[in-house]
Amino acid sequence: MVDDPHTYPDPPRRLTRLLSALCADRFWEEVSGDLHELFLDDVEAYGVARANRRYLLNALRYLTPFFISQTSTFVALQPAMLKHHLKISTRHLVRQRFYSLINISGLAVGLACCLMIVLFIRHELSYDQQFADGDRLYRVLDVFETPERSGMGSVTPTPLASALEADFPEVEQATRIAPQLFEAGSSLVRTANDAQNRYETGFVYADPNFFAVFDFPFVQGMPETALAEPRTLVLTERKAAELFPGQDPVGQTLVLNNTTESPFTITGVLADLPSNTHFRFDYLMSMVDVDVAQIPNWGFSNFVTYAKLREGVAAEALDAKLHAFTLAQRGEPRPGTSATFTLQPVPDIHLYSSDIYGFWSHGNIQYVWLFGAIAAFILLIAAINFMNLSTARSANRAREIGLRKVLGSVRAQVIAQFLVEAVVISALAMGMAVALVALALPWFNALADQSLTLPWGEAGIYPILLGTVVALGLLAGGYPALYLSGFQPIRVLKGSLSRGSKSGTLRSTLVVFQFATSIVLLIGSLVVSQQMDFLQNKALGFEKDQVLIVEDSFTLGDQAEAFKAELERIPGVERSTASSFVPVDGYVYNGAGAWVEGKDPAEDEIGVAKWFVDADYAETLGLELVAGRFFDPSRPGDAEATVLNEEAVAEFGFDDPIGQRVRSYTRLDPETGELISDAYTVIGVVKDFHFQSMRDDIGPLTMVPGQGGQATLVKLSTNEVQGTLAQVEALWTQFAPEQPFRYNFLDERFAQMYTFEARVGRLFGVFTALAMLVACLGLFALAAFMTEQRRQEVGIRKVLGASLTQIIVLLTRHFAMLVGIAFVVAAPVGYLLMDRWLQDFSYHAPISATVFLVAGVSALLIAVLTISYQATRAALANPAETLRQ
Amino acid sequence: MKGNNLGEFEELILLTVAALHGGAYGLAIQKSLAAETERKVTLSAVHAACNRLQDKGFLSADFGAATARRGGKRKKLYTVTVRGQQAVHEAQALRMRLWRRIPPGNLQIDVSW
Repeated sequence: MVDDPHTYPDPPRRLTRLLSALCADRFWEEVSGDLHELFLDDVEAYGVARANRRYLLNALRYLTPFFISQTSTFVALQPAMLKHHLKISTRHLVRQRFYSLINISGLAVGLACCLMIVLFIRHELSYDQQFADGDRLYRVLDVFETPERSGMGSVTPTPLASALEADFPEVEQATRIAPQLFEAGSSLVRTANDAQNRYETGFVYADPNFFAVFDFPFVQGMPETALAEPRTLVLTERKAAELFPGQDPVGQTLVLNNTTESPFTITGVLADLPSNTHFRFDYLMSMVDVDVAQIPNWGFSNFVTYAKLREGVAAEALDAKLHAFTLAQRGEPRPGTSATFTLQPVPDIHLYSSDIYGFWSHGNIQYVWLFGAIAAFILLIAAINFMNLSTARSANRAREIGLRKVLGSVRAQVIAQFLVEAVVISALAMGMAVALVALALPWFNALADQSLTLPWGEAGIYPILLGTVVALGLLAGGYPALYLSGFQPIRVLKGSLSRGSKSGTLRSTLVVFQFATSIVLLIGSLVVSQQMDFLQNKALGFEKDQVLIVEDSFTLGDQAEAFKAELERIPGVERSTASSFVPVDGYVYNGAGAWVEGKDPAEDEIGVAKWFVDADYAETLGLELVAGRFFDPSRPGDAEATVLNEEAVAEFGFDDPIGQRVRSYTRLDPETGELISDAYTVIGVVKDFHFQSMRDDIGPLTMVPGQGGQATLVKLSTNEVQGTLAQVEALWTQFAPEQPFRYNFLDERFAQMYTFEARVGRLFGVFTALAMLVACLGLFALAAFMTEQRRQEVGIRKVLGASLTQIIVLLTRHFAMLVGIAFVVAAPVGYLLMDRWLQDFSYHAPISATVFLVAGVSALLIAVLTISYQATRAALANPAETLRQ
Repeated sequence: MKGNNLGEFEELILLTVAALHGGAYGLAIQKSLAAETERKVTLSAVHAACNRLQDKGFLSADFGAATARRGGKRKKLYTVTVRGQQAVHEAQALRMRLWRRIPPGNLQIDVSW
């Protein structure tokens, strides 16, 4: 037998440590000694590897109640001890009202933010989960790449759905909808009883098998046959109640856009769509009699195609086959370009569509992450408050801990005491947070355009809330518990523990972290609001102010010309133009393929926006001509003329654009289903203007003369807007007594393009303010404590002649420095994050130094104001009083 | 107080401690028991039993010297207390009484083959 420690290895150290934690102390010496000896015997007998295994097996046998139940941790959690901890906790909370209140309310605000954001995220993640076989539902996306641009779109060609069903055995059903085609989108609606039209949105065409793929519940009617007949539609319950109050809507008719000769018959009523579906419609119209939907033309893209795959089919495998299929249908693409189809799971549509062109607006997974991170940070800031206050004020509890230990408490029992306290505080905070959320939710809903509710009905919420309370208590209470329980009774009872100064570095670091986080948020909200200003005020290339949009003017039919003439006679009206092409989102956008005449469209076709406008368009919108002229109705040749923007000139590759001829597709031959193209002579070039959102680059635009006049744009030249508006309305009523007068202002519609960003900006602002508030609450309490500690020092300084200012500076300096460090940390982080956000916009403001200056100065100011209240109070105290104590 | 009755394993432990005479610590007891009984005896079972017997007052313990072979830990050396001795004797007596009551012929193992 060898007794030299260097000759033999030790048993696995980590395992030993684990076992020592689980085995009660009174057995440990005997157990570990014997195990060690046995291990060495095994090494001699079998070698190290086998000895290690046998050591593990032997050690595992100590995991029995006999050895574990006598550990101090176990004892500390006995019901009687828990009751004791609870009692002591309540007494402390009540005695230290000020600090308790700050702790609890800080945590409550943090938790309330968290709860609200969690509700929001939960809702965002719940989209489109309601369909049967939802995991087999896919949306087909068109993926294209050309030298100029690449992207994905949900707008797919007419025959895709039927081809999918015919050629792919993997596809069980394929169905299409068309949210923007003829009567789809918005329409004027009249029931048999109505004298006047109503303006309604949410019209969508759908194939008869739509409900076989998406099982939206019906209140009335048969899903199988609802859309089988021409000119039939189903509508949602709320619209049915609005249009036919107190009547049975099924069998009633609806006249759309004055087409009295072919009204729609209602065949069913749908339950209202839930808020968590990507579909946005109130009326689904049958598509069986829509010609363009039946002619199989691969160049005509107006439909969203959905596919339901057979069970057990992998979407990825189908993707590969779709690529070969596309090549066969569309032919080899020209060099540098590619086009294929791919499948996107329907539940992904809401959050993963930000770079997919298509109908309806969606959420964005980035914002889910962003707000999730904000929630976590606010909660962390609140938890840090708790940690800092507990450790800072540790001296006040030191004697209690010392006494406990002298009377026989082991460390685990002291830890349990502090953890119970932390859990009590977090439970109180949770109660307050839930109340706050209940109060603030309607307001949050309005701000975020959501319809969130607290899900009291769900049993799952209660264990989650309870779990959060415990987890938060352990998180926030863990460090103070370990720190405080480590006090040595002999030192604290002698009073030699320096008061509250210990772990000052860690506390400072945590304060820096809190303020760094707040400053990052502050920089973020400043940049967002600056970008919003930038979007509103950027020179757009057109005049958006004082432009009135008179909607639905196409209903005037032959009278449109007369209406326009009368309109321009109104004193406040400068000019007007009939066009549905308005340079903001939400109006008609028409894309077409175009090429220089004489070239091969298969080789040199580029995608352009093709707008039908009249001669007054440029002047009404204040477009600037850089070459040539705009349309002139007196020249008959102008019927085949076009005006380009600079981008189109560049993409066509013209050096001298005037007089060049371009061709583009104009219409579909109803007989053959072929696209027919027309030639246009370029007569003018306008300066590039932002006709789409500034998230995108300005694309090529061709304007051709035409009466696409769904709306009439009216340029006003007066400040008397209300009076002029009344006159326009009077004129409208005279021309179209059966039509409601609907109007918008161009600048307002423009602002609406960025409502999403504006909303994010506002939410950002609110949460930044709350983060700041919580951080300041903590700082306030910490400063209160620190100044309290230094009362006598301040007294002595005053006696020795220090001025008020000197004392305030003395007490404020340290925290101000921490905020300064926080700023240095936060500025680059904020810059990098916001720079990334701005990359989403093709046009964005630079991040200016002002942002950092404002963020830094305001954070410092807020912090200094918070501390200086305490500092001033301490500085004003009568030294005679403070020194006497 | 816990009862005075001994389990079979406890009785074996007490006897082994007595047999080892002064050298009775956990591992030694386990080895000796395993060798005698040809059963698998785990160290943790020995430790649990010894400590339980100590709680009952049948064993007393002293710590020996720490050695490197034990990772610097001391041996916990057990001795049988007076109460412990009484308990084994009582158990033995009980057994003898029972043996005596068995009629001749019963429990007789035929060793002829």
